Amino acid sequence: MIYRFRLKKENLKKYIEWLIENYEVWGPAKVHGETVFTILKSADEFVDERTLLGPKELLFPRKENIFSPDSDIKERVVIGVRSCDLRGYAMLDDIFLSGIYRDEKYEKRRKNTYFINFVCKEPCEYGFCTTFYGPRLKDHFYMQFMDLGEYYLVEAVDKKLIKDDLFEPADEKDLELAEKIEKEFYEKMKPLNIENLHKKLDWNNPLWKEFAERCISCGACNFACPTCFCFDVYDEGDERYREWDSCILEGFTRLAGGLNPRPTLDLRLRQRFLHKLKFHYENYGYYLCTGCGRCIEVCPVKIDIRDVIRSVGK
Amino acid sequence: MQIRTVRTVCPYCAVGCNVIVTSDGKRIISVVPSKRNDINYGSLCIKGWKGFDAVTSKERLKNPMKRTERGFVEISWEEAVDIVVKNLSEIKRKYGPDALAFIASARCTNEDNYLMQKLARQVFGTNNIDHCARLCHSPSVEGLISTFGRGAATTSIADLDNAELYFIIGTNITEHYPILGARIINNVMKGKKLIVADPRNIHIAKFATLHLRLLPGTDLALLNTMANVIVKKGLYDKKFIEERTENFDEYLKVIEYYDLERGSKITGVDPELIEKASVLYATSRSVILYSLGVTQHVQGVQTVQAIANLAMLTGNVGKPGTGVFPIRGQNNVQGAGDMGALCDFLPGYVRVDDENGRRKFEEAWNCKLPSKPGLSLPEMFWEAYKGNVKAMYIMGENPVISESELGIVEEALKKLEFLVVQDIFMTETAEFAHVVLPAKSFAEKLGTFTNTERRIQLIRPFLDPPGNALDDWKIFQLIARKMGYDWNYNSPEDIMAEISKLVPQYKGVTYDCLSENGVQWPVNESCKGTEILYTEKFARSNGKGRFMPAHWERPSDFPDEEYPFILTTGGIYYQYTTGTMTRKVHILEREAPSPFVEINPEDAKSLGIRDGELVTVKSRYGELDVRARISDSVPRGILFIPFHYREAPVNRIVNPHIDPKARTPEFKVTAVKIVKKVIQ
Repeated sequence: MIYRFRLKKENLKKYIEWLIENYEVWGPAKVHGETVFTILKSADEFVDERTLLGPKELLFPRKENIFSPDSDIKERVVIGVRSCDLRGYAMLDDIFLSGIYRDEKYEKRRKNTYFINFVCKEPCEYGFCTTFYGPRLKDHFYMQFMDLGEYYLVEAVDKKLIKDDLFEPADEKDLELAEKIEKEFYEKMKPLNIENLHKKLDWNNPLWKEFAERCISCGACNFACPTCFCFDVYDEGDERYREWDSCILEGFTRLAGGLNPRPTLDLRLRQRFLHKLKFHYENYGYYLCTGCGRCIEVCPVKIDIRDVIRSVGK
Repeated sequence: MQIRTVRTVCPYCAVGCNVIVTSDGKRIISVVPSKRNDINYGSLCIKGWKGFDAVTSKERLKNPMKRTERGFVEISWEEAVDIVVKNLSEIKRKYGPDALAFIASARCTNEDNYLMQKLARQVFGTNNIDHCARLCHSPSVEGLISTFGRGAATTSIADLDNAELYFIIGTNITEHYPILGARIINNVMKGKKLIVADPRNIHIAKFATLHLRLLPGTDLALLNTMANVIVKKGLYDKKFIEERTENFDEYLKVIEYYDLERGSKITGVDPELIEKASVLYATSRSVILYSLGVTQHVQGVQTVQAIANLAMLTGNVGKPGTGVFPIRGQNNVQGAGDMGALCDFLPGYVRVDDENGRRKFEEAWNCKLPSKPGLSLPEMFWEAYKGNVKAMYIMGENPVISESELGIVEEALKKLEFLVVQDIFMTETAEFAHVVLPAKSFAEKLGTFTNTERRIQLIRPFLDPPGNALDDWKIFQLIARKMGYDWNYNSPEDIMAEISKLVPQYKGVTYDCLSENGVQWPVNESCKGTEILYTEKFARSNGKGRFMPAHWERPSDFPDEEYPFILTTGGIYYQYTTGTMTRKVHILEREAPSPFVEINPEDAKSLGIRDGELVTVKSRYGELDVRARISDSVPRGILFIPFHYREAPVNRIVNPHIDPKARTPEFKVTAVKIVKKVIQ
């Protein structure tokens, strides 16, 4: 069941203020000239802008002591997250929360974090979300805001964060308008062809070597990705840490004796792309990519996952 | 839990990538690269993504400590300052001010460095203040001041995009300055040309239009030969030379000697390659980028001058897309030099023996300043070894690993009557100290760093300091006040206010105007900076650029029958200088956990050395054991050892000869032999 409301734009600030009164609220804000996710102390700080990175850290910290009690995890709202990121976090859930082992720390944070995603109005430079789930999600969201001009169309799966005096019911016309805007977005950002991509992708794609020439092994593609979940675990004194890892790094697959099944960069890059566009599909039935384009944007040498997708069938 | 988000600057190399960090005061929640196009355009290298966590290590120093018979014990700041003041003033009284030596740090802020040199000069009356620029870019300072008038990059990172050709000599750019290297790669992908002069098969060489694999220590001969070709072919910029330079005739006389045949013989590079490179350089809008492969030689200053000469010869300076770009190694090595943390320069590169220049500082600081240049970094250790330097005060530097002639560095430190080490960790050097003072790291303080393109940038605190660690500048103030000097700085901003009055390059700098983008020096009264230097005239007193020719000489230590290999040293991507920080970061250490010696497969085969085998590398100055890594990134006859590792401190065996002017040691060429390790 999806509840649909309108929120007048002039009421957005009031709404965020209400959220801040009741929850810890994170959202994009301008800090020294740059828009990043941070804790919002007042509604004025919020800016509806796509940030370079999504707030993945709030579910899956970049480095955490897994022996520490997680008493500090309280209810919080993350407003202004983009649909591509949020859709990616649903994929993280499949990793951390499904199967025999559930990651308790992740689960606790997930349960206590309410995401309010904003539908992008315009395509971004590197994004290709229309290839996968598009700017407006059909599912896997909690509360979704879409700019319809004078007001936002608000779609919510429950009413916990609906403040009655600010929201009014939406009607059919709003939905039609939303669909029209969405259609225009798809016109501007043409989806790439991913039909049977997982079957067609070439193990020996010449792109791996081409990319490897340029790659400087920074790991940014992994760190910026809303779906990358790999981590390393190690001890420091009496503490055990889990830290974001990168499959681009040599030490990622190095075995204890020094042998490395993926000793060169081209093989590691192949692993990254084939995991996303082939192996994950084979195991979970979907591609491990939401088309957010962040891996391209943060790449110092602009290695482009779209080239891999486009190379199929050429 | 107090969440804070700030813009700050990466503390590793001197590219000065901007980062927006969020933390709860104890741990780092997120690290986001800045999107600003003029520096890091939304990217970071692995040290930027992972390396910030080094300062959250539990091993951080939390309280002052003194050495006792039972080892180090924690003491109060009051006691620590008492001990420091008592000992330093006692030694000064007994032996004179020049028995003291101060080592500043390219890792610390401008404000920290400014106050340390002020402490040395005003409070203790000595010019014995220096820092690690002596080991890297001192030749750039000397070489570029003498030719152009200013000891810094003539152009900007963003302006590199306007060039048609990059001439990269003696710098492993993608490994040491990855984001700058990536910018070059992107430009080359767009069709720009690239010349690489480097003996090793470094990453950027894959993109080279021409790769000149010259013999180590022959850079000056190569540059002179290129000039010879350019002149012979008439490709030089006569108008530029006539209007804007001097001493051209002397230059012609010297380069005449370096015809292609001779140049090729000295450098080991195919004459055709040299010829092509010369033509390409002279006929394009070209930038020369270089670093320690050029400077760490006995002829370091002259090689830098030869680079400047080549740029003037072709008019490739002072215009968009041209210039000479020394890539500085450490986050604030440019700034530490600007602040006068050098034994021969006061702040703003006023020579200590320049009476007029000195007067301004004497008036401002209300004291008489010493006029004799102090001891340079290597000399400080020699003089301590000989018993002439009795006390040292070291901030944020780890000479036990970083200095050459390590054998004597340790001996020298042991001989000192008093050693203070002020750092964020218990370094190998701090182990020798009588007093250890805990400092705040970049993550806990406010201040400025000046990057490799002269950009003064603000760093902001995002973590709580561990224990009772203090700002470096605050510690100096405590000492100065105890010494009876009325220092009254309430914040680093107060210090910057004084700097902007005394250092013309920093005129008009305020923290307000630095807030987002920083500003490139020279800065005018209204805080407007300068992207490209020398657009109208050079900064020498007569406004002309000066050709400074020199003949190539054989490196001070050259292979012979007994020591047939040339050993060269350098860094690797995942580690940083002596590893004080990077080796505490799990992922970085995992990627590059141990030292190695790179040897060409042919050489390894003829010596029967297998990959991973333990070998001994011996020079005339020492020997060390290290594992062999067989790799064709080095040509035959050349070995390479990274300098980060205490397990194989390569500086113990390198050539200790120094450049006579800049006093930088010749780290890059040492004759060695390599033998299989016999295990008894």
